[in-house]
Amino acid sequence: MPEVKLLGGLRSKVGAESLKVDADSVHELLDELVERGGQALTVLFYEDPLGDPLVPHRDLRILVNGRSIAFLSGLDTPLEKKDKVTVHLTGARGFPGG
Amino acid sequence: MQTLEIHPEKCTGCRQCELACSWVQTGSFQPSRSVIRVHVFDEQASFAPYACFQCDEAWCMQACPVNAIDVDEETGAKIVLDPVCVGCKLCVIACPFGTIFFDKAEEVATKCDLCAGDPACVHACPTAAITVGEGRAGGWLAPFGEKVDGEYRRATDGGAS
Amino acid sequence: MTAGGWIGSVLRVDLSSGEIGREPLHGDHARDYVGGRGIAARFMWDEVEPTVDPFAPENPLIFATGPLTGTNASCGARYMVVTKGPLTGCLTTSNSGGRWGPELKFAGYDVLILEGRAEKPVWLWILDDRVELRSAEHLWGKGVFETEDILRRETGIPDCSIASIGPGGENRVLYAAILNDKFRAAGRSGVGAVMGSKNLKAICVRGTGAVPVADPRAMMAAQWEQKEVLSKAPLTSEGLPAYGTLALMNVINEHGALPTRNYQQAQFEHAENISGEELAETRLAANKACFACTIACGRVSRISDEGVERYTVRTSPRNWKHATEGPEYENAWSLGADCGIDDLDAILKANLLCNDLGLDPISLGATIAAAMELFEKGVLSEEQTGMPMPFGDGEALVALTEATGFRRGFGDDLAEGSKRLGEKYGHPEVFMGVKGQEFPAYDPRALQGMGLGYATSNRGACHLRAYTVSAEVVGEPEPMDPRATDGKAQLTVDMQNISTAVDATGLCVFLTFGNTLSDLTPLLAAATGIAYTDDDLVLAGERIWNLEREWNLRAGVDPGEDKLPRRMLEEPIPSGPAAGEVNKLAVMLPEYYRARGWTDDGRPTRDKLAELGIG
Repeated sequence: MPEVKLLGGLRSKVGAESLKVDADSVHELLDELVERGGQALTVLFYEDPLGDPLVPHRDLRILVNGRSIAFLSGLDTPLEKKDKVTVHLTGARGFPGG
Repeated sequence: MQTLEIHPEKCTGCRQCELACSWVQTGSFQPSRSVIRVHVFDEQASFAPYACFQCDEAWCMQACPVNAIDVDEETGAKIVLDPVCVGCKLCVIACPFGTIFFDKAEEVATKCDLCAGDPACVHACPTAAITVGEGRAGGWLAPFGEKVDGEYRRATDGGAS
Repeated sequence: MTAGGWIGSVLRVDLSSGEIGREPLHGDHARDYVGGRGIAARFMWDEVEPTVDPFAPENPLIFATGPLTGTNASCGARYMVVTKGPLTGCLTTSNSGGRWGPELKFAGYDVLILEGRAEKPVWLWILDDRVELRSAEHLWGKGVFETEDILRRETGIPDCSIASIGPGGENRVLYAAILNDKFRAAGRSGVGAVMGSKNLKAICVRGTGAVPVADPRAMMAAQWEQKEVLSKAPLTSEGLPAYGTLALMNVINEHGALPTRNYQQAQFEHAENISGEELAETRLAANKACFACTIACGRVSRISDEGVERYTVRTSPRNWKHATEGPEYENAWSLGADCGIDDLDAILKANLLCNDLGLDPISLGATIAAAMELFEKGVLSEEQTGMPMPFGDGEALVALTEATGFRRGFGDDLAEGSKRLGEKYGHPEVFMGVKGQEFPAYDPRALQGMGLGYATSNRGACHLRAYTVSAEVVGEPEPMDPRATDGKAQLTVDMQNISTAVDATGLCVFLTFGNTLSDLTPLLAAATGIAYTDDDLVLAGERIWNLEREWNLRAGVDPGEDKLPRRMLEEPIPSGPAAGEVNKLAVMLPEYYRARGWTDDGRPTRDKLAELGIG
């Protein structure tokens, strides 16, 4: 199963630093995290939790094997058994560092 | 009756309160004329703003020979009446908390007047380490005193060995 | 001078003659170069021969604030130390926060220029308009902490703010720092060594005056808006307060961009042990803000009880057991991952020593890492280094940090930085940096833009001059592929110009994690009374950047120095997410020169300089 590593404030919100998740895509993986951490997480994960299609929140950062899903297939990025996923929240609003 | 309540555990030592206080008084940024001051205890990781907490006994008021310190009816703040003050500094000496100051520029005593009930420092504080409380200072000051005392003892014990 | 922001006064102290003079701040220069880094660079341009020896009395040491330093704009705490840096031979600009800069303005000065060299150690006491030089012979040899404590007692004014050097600066360690308020450092390029060469131990400032602003009503409105934005942006309201810059440790490591063991790898297997999350859980005592900062990213931390006893040092700062500031991400990286060390206590101890001895932890850690590589490869022997120093050895890190501050034993070699160290022992390839200055904590093979930023930075390798990590990792203002070179030249130019402008205002560049330029121009306009626009500010940044560049060229820093070490260009990252990557500087550099409007060989054209009013 893909292994997920959570960083920063997400750890306490989900209740784990890392975990194995049975998921075939990033989308399913987020569903699993919501399952564990509660519905409140959807607000952090999606721009509009009730939207269709769901759009990842602008502050959510997901890496699959160290590569941002922004350069893969977004929420539809497929996951394989050996994949390592990193999930964290950022949220700069300016032009960091100039 | 209002007081400034200080929550030192929330203070980051940024001194926005000093800037706001001096702004209200002078229209420029001049922390040396602020009547709220931040104390930084580097090695104890502790920062604390302090200002007059409008104590009941008001030794400053009792020490003043010309009755230049009065009580604001609205807020209960002890306020300095500038035209009456002769700048003798007896109040500065009398205050056991060191929260009434001598303003060299105006040559009068100066202290927190609670900004007539809407203190600028409270608005400026980014972490809500200063709030406006109702009622007497003693109620909230006692646990504060205990906390500071405890921290001090822990810190000095730690440094002794 | 205008009605506010700037005080309008420059304090000039000739340490050779003891003469103290005051002069008005040049109004046009203030407007065009804004302040801080810009106004000081203009002084260097007008008054200093670029080929000057950094340690010569003719090389001035300039402390410059910006028009927003000392105002209630959030993060208006900064001052810039500007001089010719001994590590790089470049015009160097080293920035610090805390309370010293604002205090200088409250004392009535925008800029302090120190010239000459005192015959014997002195310290400078600035109490409003009372300015005097006093003997510092009793302070020479003492650490920063003790120096500050003694001067507070000596002046009888505990509210003063002190900028001083430790043994590092006295002994001219090429990357010695100037520390103010004990833990805040103008860290890079050896500004502390220049101060030491002038026999100046400390500058103690207390100001009781005011920083006026031109349009009070506009100032209040602008600062509320600025702070409102900072309080809503997740990074400035939650991320930085919770984990400080150390939040980056895990993030950069997960990207496979965390340089490890002197850039031999790009992922550290024990990054978690030295992460912001770990620090917050086990050793964080409080957050601390610089003057007027509403973010408070500063860490106040304690070495663990067990860690206090571990690692031997001879000059033990008395406050091992108390709280100390740090570490920042860069320091935890240089003293940690880059040396293969995963013990936060060792890092905290070395970091504390850097503060007390007055050293730049980035260059120090990176130099020790280079020496560790030489040791592991058998180039350096235990006889030469005085101790075993394999990667991961916390004992060696702490002991060598101390030895470097005093230039004792092998510390004398380390004090020269990794470029000279590598050259001395016949292995220049271990130097990981640009223009003599060591890289900070982002592998330019994994993040292409950082490579260009390092190579073209005016003060040698630096992350703060163009933080392309913002687009490449954080994803702001928009995500850019870290492995692509497309658009990185323009990104680098834009970021260099904007962060230079922010530096010049006296604000902290970290506020850009929340604020945009449009949040800042109203502050500047309100404070100074000059109707700055965003474009004006970017132009000021470009002007300062070009001036610094042209000064460096005249100092003999050839455009050929815009380069990266061979390891970055030819040795692919061996493993991890970015495995196989090298930096493609050759693709980006010509684009960069074009985007700058410079000649193909990287020189500002006459037209460009004229357009910017540099002449």
